[in-house]
Amino acid sequence: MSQKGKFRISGVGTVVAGDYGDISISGSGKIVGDISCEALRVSGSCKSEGVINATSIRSSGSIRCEKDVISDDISISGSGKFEGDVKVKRMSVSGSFKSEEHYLNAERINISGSLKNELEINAELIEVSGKIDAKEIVGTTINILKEDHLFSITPGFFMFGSKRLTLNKAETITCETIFARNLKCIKLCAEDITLKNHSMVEYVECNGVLRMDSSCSVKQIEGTCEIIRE
Amino acid sequence: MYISKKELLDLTGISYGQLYRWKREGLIPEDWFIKKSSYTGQETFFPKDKIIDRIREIQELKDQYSLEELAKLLSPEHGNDIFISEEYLADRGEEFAKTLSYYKKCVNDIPLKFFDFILVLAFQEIKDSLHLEDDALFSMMDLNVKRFIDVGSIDFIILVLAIETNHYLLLLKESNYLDMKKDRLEIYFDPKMKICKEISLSQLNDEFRKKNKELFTGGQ
Repeated sequence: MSQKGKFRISGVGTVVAGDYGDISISGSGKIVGDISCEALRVSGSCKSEGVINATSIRSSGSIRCEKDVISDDISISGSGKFEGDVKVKRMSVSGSFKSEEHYLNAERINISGSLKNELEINAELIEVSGKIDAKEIVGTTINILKEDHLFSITPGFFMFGSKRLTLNKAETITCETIFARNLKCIKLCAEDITLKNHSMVEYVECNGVLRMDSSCSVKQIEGTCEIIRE
Repeated sequence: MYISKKELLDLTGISYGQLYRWKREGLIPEDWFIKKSSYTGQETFFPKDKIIDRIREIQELKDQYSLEELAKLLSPEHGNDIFISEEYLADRGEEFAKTLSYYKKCVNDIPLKFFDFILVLAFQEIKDSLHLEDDALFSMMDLNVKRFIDVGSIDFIILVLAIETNHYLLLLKESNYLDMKKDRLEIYFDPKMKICKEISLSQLNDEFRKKNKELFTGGQ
C-alpha cells in the first residue's frame, strides 16, 4: 500500500495540486490547484485557489477557499470563508463560517459560532446554538436553540430593540420539523413547527402542527395545521 | 407546465425532507428547482412532467439501489466517471463509430466524459433523422462541438434549422425553451427557414440511462 506524503508549512509556503496524506499549515499557506488529502489542518492562515477534496478539514486559524470543497468532516473554530460549493457529511462551526452565493450541502451541521450563507443550506439536521443568517435553509430537522435571556428578563424594555436583537435570520425555510428561538423569517414551510422567544415569521405553510408562544408573531398561515398557542 | 413545491408534495405524497435529501444526493438536478417571486416572497416551482417522472422513478428504484447508485443512474453530473467499453461502442454499429471517431478528433482525442457521449448520440440522431451525408455532419460538428462542450450541461435543447439544403444548429436552455412555448412566444422565421429537428439532451440522457442501467450501477 502506497504511503501518501505528509506536507507541513510552519512558515510561509505553497501546496501545489496533488494527492496528499496530511497537510498541516501553522504559518501562512497557499494551495495552488486542486488537491485531495486525508486531513487538512490550519492553525495559521490558508488560502486555496483550487478544489479541496479532504477526508477532514480542521481550521482554528483563518481559511479561505475560492473553489468547491468536498469533505466528510469540517470543523471551523477560527474563521472560514468559502467562495465555492461545500459538500460535507458533518460540519461544526464554533468560529465564523461565511459562504456567499454558493450551496452548502451537509448531512449534519452544528453551529455554536456563526454561519452566514447567501444561497442555500441543505442538510438533514441543523443544530444552532450560535447564530445563523441564511437566504434559504432546506432539509429535514432544524433546531435553533439559543435562548436570548435578555428578552426573558426584561421583555418590555427590549421590545423597542427587538429587531436589532433578533439573532437568527432566513428568508425561506423548508423542512419537516423545526424548533426555533429568536428567528426572523419571511416564509416557513414545515410539518411540525415550534416557535419560541420573539420569533417573527411572515408566512407559514403547514399541514401539521404549529406551536408558538405569546411572544411570537406569524402574519399569515396557509394549510390545515393545528395551531397550539403556549 | 410548472408545478409548485406544495402541489408536488400533495400529488406525490413525499415529504419536504425527502425532496431536499434527493436534491442533496444529486437525484434531482438543481436546475429543476426554479425560484419565482410570489406574494409570499419566493416560491419554488418545477418542470411538471420531468419532476413527477423523476420522483416516480426514484420511488420505484429506491429499494433496489442505494442513493449513491441512484444518483449515478439518474443524475448527469455524476455520470462523468462512467466507463463505456469499446465493446459496447462497437455494438452500436459502424455509423455510430464514425461519428464517435470524428467527435474524438474534434476534441483532440482527450478522454471523453459522459456528457461527450450524450453529444455524440445527439449528432448521430441528427444524422439519422435528416439523412445527412458524412461530410455535412462533420462540418456541423467542426463548427459546434467545442461550443457545446463549453456549455457543459444537458439541460439544453438543440434545434436544427434548415434553409434549403443547409442545416444550422441553435442551442437553447431547456427551461427557456419551455417558457417560450408556454408563453406562446411568436417567432417569425424567414419563410425559407424551418425547424426540422428538436433534440432534448436531457431526454436523450434519460432514455439512454433507462436502457443501460447496468452501466451505472455495476451490473445489478
